[in-house]
Amino acid sequence: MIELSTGLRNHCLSTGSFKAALDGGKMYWYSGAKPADADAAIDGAQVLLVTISDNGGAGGLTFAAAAAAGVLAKLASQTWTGTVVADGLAAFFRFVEAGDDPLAASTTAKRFQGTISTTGADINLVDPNLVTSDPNPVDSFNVTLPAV
Amino acid sequence: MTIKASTGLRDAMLGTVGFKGALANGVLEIYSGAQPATADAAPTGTLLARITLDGGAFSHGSPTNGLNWDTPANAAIQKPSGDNWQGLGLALGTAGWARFKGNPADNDGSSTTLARVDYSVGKTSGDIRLPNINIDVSDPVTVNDASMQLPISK
Repeated sequence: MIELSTGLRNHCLSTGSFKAALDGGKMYWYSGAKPADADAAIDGAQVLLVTISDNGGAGGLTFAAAAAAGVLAKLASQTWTGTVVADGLAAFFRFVEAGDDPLAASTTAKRFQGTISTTGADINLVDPNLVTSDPNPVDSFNVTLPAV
Repeated sequence: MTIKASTGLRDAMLGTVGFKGALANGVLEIYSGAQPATADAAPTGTLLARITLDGGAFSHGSPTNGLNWDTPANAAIQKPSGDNWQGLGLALGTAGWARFKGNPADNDGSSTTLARVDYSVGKTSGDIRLPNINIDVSDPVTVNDASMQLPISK
């Protein structure tokens, strides 16, 4: 299951939403061990493989206008993609708000992170072995908030 | 934990106004019996007490005497310590669960759009603890503590 940062959890408990916090943010995919939680720093043992942004450019990512049935999806009309910058086995991702440094420890930044694998992960890929210069589109992305 | 958020509340937390925003100026109702399966479902049991700010009259659609939540910290949100959440017993029964409803009209039907959160109620266990869970008509009922946490993993 995805792990929400303290900053994101406080935001969603107050008067802000998950969407409001993270629209405009970017998603970073890494090899190596996932940090213990989304507040923790990425200490350098992990390698950044790809940054997912709006059509692979400088712009941030956008979620759908509204959640339905407890699920918030990516904006269908936006292309979420990036170009792989290093060879490696994708193991986890971190999605951060606009302007946040995904490497730094924080208890206020609004972020979440999750696992990447072939099955049973938060993001499941046919082949998580990424190759430099390959495009890496994300066609489907849903966030679910359970009832309890 | 038997705190259950409705679909409407989860959609608000994901897409619009957050927990505190969705439940602003709300009301807490205490029922007998077991909790419904989800907070989308119509309430079950007997309505034993309606908790408002200082026990004042409350109507959906008006903020007067509605209940509000404190600012969250460490991924938890609480009843404001200085607010008096109170009501009078409406019927005789043993409190088993409670539903916090937002300010918009809520006719107690099944809903996947209204923001609600359900709690278990008990004397020594439960999400909301009352000094006396045996409520009678006109008994004062005071809720001293209520909270909601978002765990790290979702």
